[in-house]
Amino acid sequence: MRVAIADDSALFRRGLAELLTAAGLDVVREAKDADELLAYLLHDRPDVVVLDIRMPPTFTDEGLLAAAAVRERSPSTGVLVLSTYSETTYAVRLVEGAGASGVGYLLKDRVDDVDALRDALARVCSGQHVIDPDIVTRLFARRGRLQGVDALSPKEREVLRHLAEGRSNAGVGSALGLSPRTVEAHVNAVFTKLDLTPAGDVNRRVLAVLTWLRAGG
Amino acid sequence: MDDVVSLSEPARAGSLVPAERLARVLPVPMLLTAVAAVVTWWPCWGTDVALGLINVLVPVSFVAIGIVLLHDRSQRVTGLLMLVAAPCYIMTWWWSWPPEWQIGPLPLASFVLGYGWFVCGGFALVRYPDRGRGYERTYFGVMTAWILALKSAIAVTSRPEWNGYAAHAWWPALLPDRAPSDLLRSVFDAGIAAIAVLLLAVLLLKLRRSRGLERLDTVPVIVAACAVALCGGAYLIGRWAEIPVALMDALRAATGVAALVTPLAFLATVLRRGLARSSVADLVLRLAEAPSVDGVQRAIRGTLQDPLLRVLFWLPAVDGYVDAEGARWAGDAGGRWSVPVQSRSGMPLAVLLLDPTLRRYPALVRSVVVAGGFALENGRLHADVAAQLAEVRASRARIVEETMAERRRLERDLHDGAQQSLLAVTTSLSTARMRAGRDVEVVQALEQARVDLGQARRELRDLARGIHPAVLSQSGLHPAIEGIAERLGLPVVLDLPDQRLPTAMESTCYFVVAEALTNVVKHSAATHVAVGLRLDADDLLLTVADDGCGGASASAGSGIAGLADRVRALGGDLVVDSPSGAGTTVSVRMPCG
Repeated sequence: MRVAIADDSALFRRGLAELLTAAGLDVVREAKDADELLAYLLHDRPDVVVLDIRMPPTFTDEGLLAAAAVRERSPSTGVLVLSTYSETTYAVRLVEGAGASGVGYLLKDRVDDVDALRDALARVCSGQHVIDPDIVTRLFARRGRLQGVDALSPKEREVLRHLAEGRSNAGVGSALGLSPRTVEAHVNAVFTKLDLTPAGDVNRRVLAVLTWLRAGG
Repeated sequence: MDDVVSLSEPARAGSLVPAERLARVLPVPMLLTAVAAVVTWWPCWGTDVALGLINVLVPVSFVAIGIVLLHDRSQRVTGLLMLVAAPCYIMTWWWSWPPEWQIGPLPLASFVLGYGWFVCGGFALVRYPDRGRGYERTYFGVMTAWILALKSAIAVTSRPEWNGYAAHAWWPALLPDRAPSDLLRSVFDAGIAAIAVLLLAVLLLKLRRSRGLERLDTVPVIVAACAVALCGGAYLIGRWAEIPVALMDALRAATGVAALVTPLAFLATVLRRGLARSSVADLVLRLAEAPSVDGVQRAIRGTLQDPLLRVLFWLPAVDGYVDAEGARWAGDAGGRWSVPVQSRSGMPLAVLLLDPTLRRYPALVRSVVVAGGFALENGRLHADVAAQLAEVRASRARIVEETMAERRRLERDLHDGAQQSLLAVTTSLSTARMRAGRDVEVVQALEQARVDLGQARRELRDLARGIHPAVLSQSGLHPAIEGIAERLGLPVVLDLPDQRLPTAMESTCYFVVAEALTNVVKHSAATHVAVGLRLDADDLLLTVADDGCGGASASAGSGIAGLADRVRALGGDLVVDSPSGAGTTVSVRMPCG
């Protein structure tokens, strides 16, 4: 997998590049801001781009804007936004703004788990979404206190969690070791019980589930 | 009155007559005059009581007014004139005495000096309240000369009985001759009639000249004088036209009544001056409602009847006086009487520019100026306090803003520094774990390090978020408070708008909610919490309401008390409503827009 990295902290950039290289990925570019990255994209298409959310010039949400730009210019390139901030609102904005597929929001903390990192990169590369489990856990904890989630069976709850983390049916199946048909049945059951319209677009499901989880009663 | 009024010693002895003094001084002269008048009319009481009463009341009232005016320093001469007019009036009537009474020079005195009451009374009227112009003095000089000269001439050329007196009276009948004496009498009468008419002109000119308070004093007196002049003139014309006796008697009576009006007019003006004192009380009340320079100016203009009066206020900032519109005063009094006013601390406070005729009312002017001065001083003190308060508030708000900016800087430093460093260590650790191979001890040690590092990162992240959540600056209150709600152990209902607010307000609202929710979790044993934010045209209203055990308070030293200070520094207020056992509601109201 060919990966480009954009982050204004040289320290982190170097460390991540080393890690990914040691993990067997091909780091093709280390950019210090979005402009440099987008300029690079003019003559190369990596498989995945890793972006920090907070970059110059305003140090607010450049990463989210850059993610949308990358998806637009290079639809075959997946985008993984890494952030020190575990804020649901950024994850939702990323999915809403950056396209129907292939974007992920991950905490930088995930760099302590190479496998999870590799998995996330593979998923956005193949066009799925990634939502950091930390965020999903928090949302679950909050929503779990209200009605709705208790109506689901434990298996269905697991399925819902994986859906919230952005997995497609196939991804859920491989994560839980279930056949595609079983997965589909569970997914439909979940949607029915939560009174959600099963969107045709698999990737829009993430938004629907996240929105439902965020609605705090 | 000295020309500077200092508010540190406002009280001065008034120049109006204290009532007790008058009560002591008046009765005896009035009684004596009454006795003289009664005696004068003695022979006629049986036939004409009404006229007798008039003839008693007129001199008595002249004497009373004369004495009252004597006590007013500026009206001494007027008072004396009235005192002289009284006996003259009594003497006029000596011609009605029976012959036994008309002894010696009494008839002559009555004849020559009788008219004196008309002259003295008239002159007194013209002189009040303002000393006459040159032509007025000339006029009365001429009148006096005319009367004395012609009356003497008539006396010399006639016999007493031709003039209505007893034949045996002492009379300088040097050249008694009917024809010239009749002629002289006609000339005298014609002259007096003309002079009486001229008096009307003099009085009307005086009325036209007067303004303000002086006009209020002048009008009643002039009305009285006109009445006397008209009646007297009619009487004279009647005598010349030889109208029936009964009509003559009626005219004489009418003149007496008119004469009575004169002292009443004087009395009215004296009373009015007394009432002016109460108008100062009104003034004080009006000033209490209008402490601006413009308000003081309008109130004083009304009380002193001076529409062109100006109040100039001392402004230390420009080191000079400014008027009600704020324009600087050049220092030119423009022909007006300027009265400087000093504040209680001796500093210049104001200058009043008054009509010069008001110098005649020193006590009233003083009271008014002092009242106005106090109002202005209070206004100045209010303005000073308001300015200081505004400065304190601004300074407090600045401090709060600076504190919040500090926190944002701190969070950024943590993010860019310590957090990135820990992440760099993490990546190195992960790389090392990948390269560690199968050495179990190494792998275990690295795994432990990974766990510890993860813990450190989490703590640092929570710390940074506690200092200042970056999402608040970047995306506003709704996502930031949502972040708290997600991390709370309690169901939280949020009703927040998505629009952005000024940084200081967002920050303060966020930390109030954070503190309030912390307290809910720590103390209230609640099961539900609701956070709501409402924005209307002028205000923001934030509420955090729970269904817990209540009994909370914003006591000094608590976290919520510190936030209450911050809310107040932004011009708002924070209220904790927490009846025991009935839940707690923290409400914040802040002005916006």
